[in-house]
Amino acid sequence: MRFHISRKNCGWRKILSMELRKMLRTKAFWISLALGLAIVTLNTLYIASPKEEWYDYGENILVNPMIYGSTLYNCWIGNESFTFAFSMFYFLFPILCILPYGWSLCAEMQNGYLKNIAVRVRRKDYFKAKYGAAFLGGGLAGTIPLVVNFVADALFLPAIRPDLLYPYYSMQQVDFLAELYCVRPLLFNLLYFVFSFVYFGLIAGCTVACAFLVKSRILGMLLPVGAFYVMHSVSMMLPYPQVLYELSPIYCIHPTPVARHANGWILFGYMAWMFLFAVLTGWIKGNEKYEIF
Amino acid sequence: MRFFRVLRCDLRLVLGRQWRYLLLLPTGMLLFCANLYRWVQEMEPGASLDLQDYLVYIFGGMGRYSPSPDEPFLFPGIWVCSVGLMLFLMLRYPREELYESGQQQLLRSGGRCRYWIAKCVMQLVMTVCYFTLAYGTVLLFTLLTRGTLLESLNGEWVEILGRVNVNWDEIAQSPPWMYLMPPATVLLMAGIQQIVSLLTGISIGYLVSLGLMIASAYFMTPWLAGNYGMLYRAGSVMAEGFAMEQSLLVCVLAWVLMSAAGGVYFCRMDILKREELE
Repeated sequence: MRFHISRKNCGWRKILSMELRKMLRTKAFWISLALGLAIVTLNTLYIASPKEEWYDYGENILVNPMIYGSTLYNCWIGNESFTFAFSMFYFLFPILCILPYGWSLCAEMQNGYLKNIAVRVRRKDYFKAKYGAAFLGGGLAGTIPLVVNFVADALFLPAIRPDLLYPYYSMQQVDFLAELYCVRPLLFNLLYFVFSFVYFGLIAGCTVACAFLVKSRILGMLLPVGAFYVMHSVSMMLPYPQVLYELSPIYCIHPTPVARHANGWILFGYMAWMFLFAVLTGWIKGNEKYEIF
Repeated sequence: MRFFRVLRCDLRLVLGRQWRYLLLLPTGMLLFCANLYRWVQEMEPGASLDLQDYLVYIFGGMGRYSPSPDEPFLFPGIWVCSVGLMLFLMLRYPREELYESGQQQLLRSGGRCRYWIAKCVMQLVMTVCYFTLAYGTVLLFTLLTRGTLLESLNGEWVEILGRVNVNWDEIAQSPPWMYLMPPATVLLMAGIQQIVSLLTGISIGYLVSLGLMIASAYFMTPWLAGNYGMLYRAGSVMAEGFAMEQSLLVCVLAWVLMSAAGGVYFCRMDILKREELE
């Protein structure tokens, strides 16, 4: 299909829809989605596999046969933190988010496509549409596997409201939205799907902004990922009781706490920081660097 | 002669491109060393650390993980950052260069085989460079903090930091060549990464490397290459750890095999068609 663009009829929404179509046709988006789905399937297979020992309390006390021992709200990938699927997904999600379309602006700057398009549409609209497409691509590639895992696990496990009298839940009173988790766990998880979508999208958006800062496509792509891992490592080095809340940008998006207590301000702080980084970089660098005439 | 010219050109280009990013390596090492020093001083004021303590802390990875709902899996961030940075630095050049000046270089090198071998030797040289830089920084920090050099490894700290079932009989006499394990593993992983990135693309190649790293941390098995690069899992440190002589041999042999397999594929690869696909 050919895309016709002219300055006359191109608002940023039109460019966005064109970019979205382009994104949905890239292999990278589907590879990223397939990888995410493959990883979360491991969690579902683990949950669905028959385990006689689950009912043998004497021999294996890790998985309790009591009804509160294994429910949807402590077994799906977003509410547990010990399966291989959790480890893989929450380690690789920054790359899975940038893979769909985060690289596109950098690639178009390199191959000269940007120069062609910049004379046909307003550059601001074009950058906005690029950011929007990357945001949606990252959000979808990261969130669809989570939703699929939630639904698939719900086929095998009862969605019983968590009873915190039992020690099978990592959520504690100080944690972010702990009350909602106990009273309306479904709403809690739905809310976290929205947070995850935005968070994953913002990571992909950072990659778009990095295209203004570095020339190399691969470096632009992996710069935010590297920053995430470095920040995670630094946060894990901080002493625990003194630093009570989860500062890791990787674990802070996990709905239930992993290493430390969850704090909403930290999560929203990271979101705000990523958004501001992308917007300010695009605003400052986008105007100064791409004067093509 | 042509081979050495290609190699020299590669090294010059890589170092020219990477020197800024290479600064991250000593910076990270200093940060990790300082963190261990702070932690030890809090635990035992006035205690002196050995060079081995720092190296095992940075390149230790983690002990065996037993999945349990009570114990979340926390991936070894320091190990991932150190090894991940080196793999990233080695990831970009061969692939990116192939579609830039590399094609000219390929024509002048006198054959694809020579070109590929030059890339593999460059991998080896770069691994040695990175680890010289990393170990050198740790050595400098040890000297500055008046620590000892290769005297003995403190098993108690290993037990607390790595949550390892320590091999008390051998840990004090850990052989210094044990520290060749991380470079050998990085070399092997770089070889795997180079082939995967040749087949699929750079980002997927790096994704596979990261996946391999995390799978190695989660499963303690000799079938996952990353296990050999974690010093906490070495036989002289951990009670049921890997025999180091065998591990070293496996890493080197596997790298040679990977390089040979990659060479065979590269000699038959349609570079221009792949460039179009890119």
